[in-house]
Parts: sequence; structure tokens; C-alpha cells
Amino acid sequence: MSATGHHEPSVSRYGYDEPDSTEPFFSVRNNEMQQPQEELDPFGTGKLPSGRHGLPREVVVRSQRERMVESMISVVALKGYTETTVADIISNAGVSRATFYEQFADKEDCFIAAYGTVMERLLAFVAEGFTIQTDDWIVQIRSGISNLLVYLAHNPVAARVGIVEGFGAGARARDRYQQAVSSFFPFLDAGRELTPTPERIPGHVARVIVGGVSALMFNEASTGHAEKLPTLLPEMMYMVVAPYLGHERAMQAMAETKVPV
Amino acid sequence: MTEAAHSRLPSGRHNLPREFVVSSQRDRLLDSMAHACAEKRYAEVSVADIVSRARVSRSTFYEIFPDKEACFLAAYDAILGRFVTEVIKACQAPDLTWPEMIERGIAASLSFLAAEPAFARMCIVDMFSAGPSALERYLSAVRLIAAFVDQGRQMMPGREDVPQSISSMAVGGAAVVIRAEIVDERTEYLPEVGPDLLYSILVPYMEQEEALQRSERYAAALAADLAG
Repeated sequence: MSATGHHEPSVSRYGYDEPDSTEPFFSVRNNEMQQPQEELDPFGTGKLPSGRHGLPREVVVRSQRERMVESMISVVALKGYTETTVADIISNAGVSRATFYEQFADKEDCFIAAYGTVMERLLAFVAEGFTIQTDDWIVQIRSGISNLLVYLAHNPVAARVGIVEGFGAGARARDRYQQAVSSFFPFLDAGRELTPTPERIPGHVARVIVGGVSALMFNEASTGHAEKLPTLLPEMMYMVVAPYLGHERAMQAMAETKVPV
Repeated sequence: MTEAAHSRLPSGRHNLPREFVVSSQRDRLLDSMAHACAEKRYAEVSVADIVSRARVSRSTFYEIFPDKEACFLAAYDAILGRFVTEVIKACQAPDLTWPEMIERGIAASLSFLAAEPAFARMCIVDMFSAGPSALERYLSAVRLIAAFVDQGRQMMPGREDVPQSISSMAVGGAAVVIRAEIVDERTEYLPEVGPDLLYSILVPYMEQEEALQRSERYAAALAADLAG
């Protein structure tokens, strides 16, 4: 597949406009959960029926945990991590304070779980894009970043929590972020092999690229303009390609990149 | 041998930041804040920590600063001035070309941060978690440096079409590399990432081969310094 002329099909193949393919990421629940939840929750409140229901304890615990994590995600997106309190989380999730402290050591602990959940969703989109069937590195990179930007544009809550709030929430969130982004380095560094002397490209280049792309995303997401993120794809393609293949190839990659919808 | 050690580990790194001459209660509080931030993360630093190290009463603290954040920002501002002065001085030797200025600026910044680990942690790590004013200061510092880098589009032949956001991405990405080194407790070795940062910042503005050669020369000079 060439780098040119495949933007329209490649975008629609990733299914941004197909609800089926995006659906699992909005309601990530493992299979054991899905079953009882549907049967016992006819009104879709996400809450298990109160009182005696004879459900195994681990099902109840997991349901509570998920509600607290989802509650953390939505409250942090609204108020920011610093302003968010345990009281907000439990009232939003409909659990008691005692239940909260049975499962989480403190607010940060719960946030790390929430941040991890959001990052897994983001990473799944990027990884899906990077592993598209093609041997054209530029097409792979483009589809990975494009997936991420489109997902974030449609999910400002994920953009707020994953791109903005994670930075300010302390060392554990930062470690989680470092770990998450370093999984992208091999995909980027494949660009090295396209140069005559791969070993001459400095070692920190992939980290500069990921950091730079994140910084640009941070600027848009922190000012509440997540919906504009896809318009940044052409410049981001320049940023990725230039350190490996130089200015001319980067300009070409930028010119060939359309803004995804 | 002493010279080698000197160039690798600049003097003063274990000393108090020189800016904070312990001459007044305010200075002692600023110094105490910087030290506390070097030891634990900003969110965990309490006013109690700061006042006990500074040997100042809590009521005096609140006479001088409205809250912890104000003290943090004052400590940051106190040393930022010296940082900016040193970096600008390094970049402004006569007859330097634009790429040479970038190289001098990177080298001076990394040496300064390596020599002032408390300040390094404050401005590159804690600025993200110390509230909106701190974040805005961090972002405006990045914008300032990015505007300087962006001059490459005019200074270098045939590079008017480099996208404008590249300079802020390159500077933001360089900051991420620096942050990772600080978080990994490699602050004193920060000068060693200079050649990689130079390459990443220069490559949009010149032929790739020239950026590679400049980075390699820089790395060779660092290695020669290390070898004494």
C-alpha cells in the first residue's frame, strides 16, 4: 500500500463512524461482568439491586470498583484532580465511604486505577492503528496517531483525564504515563531502519517525539478544545518523520496527511 | 582528574541554591521550600515541613505568603531569574550562528539544572502539580524557548515552510526527556542528553546530515571533557 491515496478508506476502516468498533471501549467490562449486570440491571443505572440478591461477593465488589473508577473519571474531568474529593466519588458512584476505603487506600489510589483505565483505552486505539496491515511505516504511524486524535476528539472526558490531569496527579500517575508511552517507542523507532545508518539517529529521539506530540495534545486538551485535536495530525506527522527521515520527507508526509473526521 | 570531575559534576550541586542567601525569614522559607521539593513531591510538602526547616513560625509564614503555592512560586521565581540570565549569556557570545546559539543554550540549561537539583525538580517536575499558576508559568517558559527555536525558520535557508508548532513540540519533547532523567534521579548527568536534544531541535531546520554531525561533534566534546 502506498503512502498516498488511501486516506479515505483507511480512516473509515478504523471505524470511527461505526459504532460497533468503538462501543467496547466505552463499556469495558469483562465477560463475567456483562452477564449478571444485564440481567439484574433492567434500568441501566449501572448499580446492582440493593438488599439481598444472592450475588457472589466478588461480583458485587467488582461492580462497586468499576462504578468508583468511572465516577473518578467523570468527576476529575469536571473538577480537576486537585479539587476532586472522596466525597464526590462515593456520592456519584452510590457507595459508602467504608466501601471506598475497602478498595482504595486513598484518592490517589483510586485515581491511578481511573487513569490506568483511560490510558488502556487510549493505548488500544493507538496500537490498533500502528498494527495496520502495511509495510509502509508512515502509514502505520499516521493511522496510530489518527486513531488517538479522533478518539480524544469524541471523548473529551478521556482527553481531560488521560492527557491533562495525569500530569498533575503525582509520581505514580507519571510512572504509569511513562510506562504507557514507552510502549510506543519501538513503533516509532522502526523509522530508524529506513535510514542508511540507523545507529546514528540519537537514542532519545522517540521520547522527544512522543513528548512533543503529547505537549501539543496537552495544549489543546487543557484549554478544552479536544475536538480540534484531529486538525493537528499533519504537523504531528512532520514531527514524527523529520528526526528519522529529514525535512523533505517530513514535508511530504505532512502534505499527504488529511485531517481525519 | 579534578578537572574532569569538575566538568562532569558542576560545583555547587550539593550546596544551597546560591540565590537563597539565608539572610531573612523570607529567604529561609524559599530555601526550605526548594529543599522540601527536592526531597518529596510538591503535593506531599506541608507548610509544617517548610516552617520547621526554616525555623520560622507558622504565623510568620502566613504573614509573608497567603499559602503553600505562593511560597512555591516565589521560590521558583527567585532562581528563575538567574537561570534565564545564565542561558542568555551563553547564547549571546558575538558571531554565533543560530545553530551554535541553540547548542550553547542547551548546554547552559542542562548544566544549570544539573547544578541546582532542587530548582530542576521544581521547574520541570513539580510545576505540573502545583496548581494553575505554576502550570501557566511552565507553559509560558516553554513558549518563550519555542519562539527562540522558531527563529530557525527565518535564520536557515529554505526552511520558511517548517510548521510553526514544530518548535513547541521539539521544546516540549526535550522537556519530557529532561523530566524523565530527573524522575530517574539522574539530574547530575543531565548534560549527557545534550547531543540528543540538539539533534531533535535542529533537524527540522537543516539537512539531516548536518544535524547529525553537529550532534556527534557535541557528543565527542562531552566525552573528551569526561575523559579529562
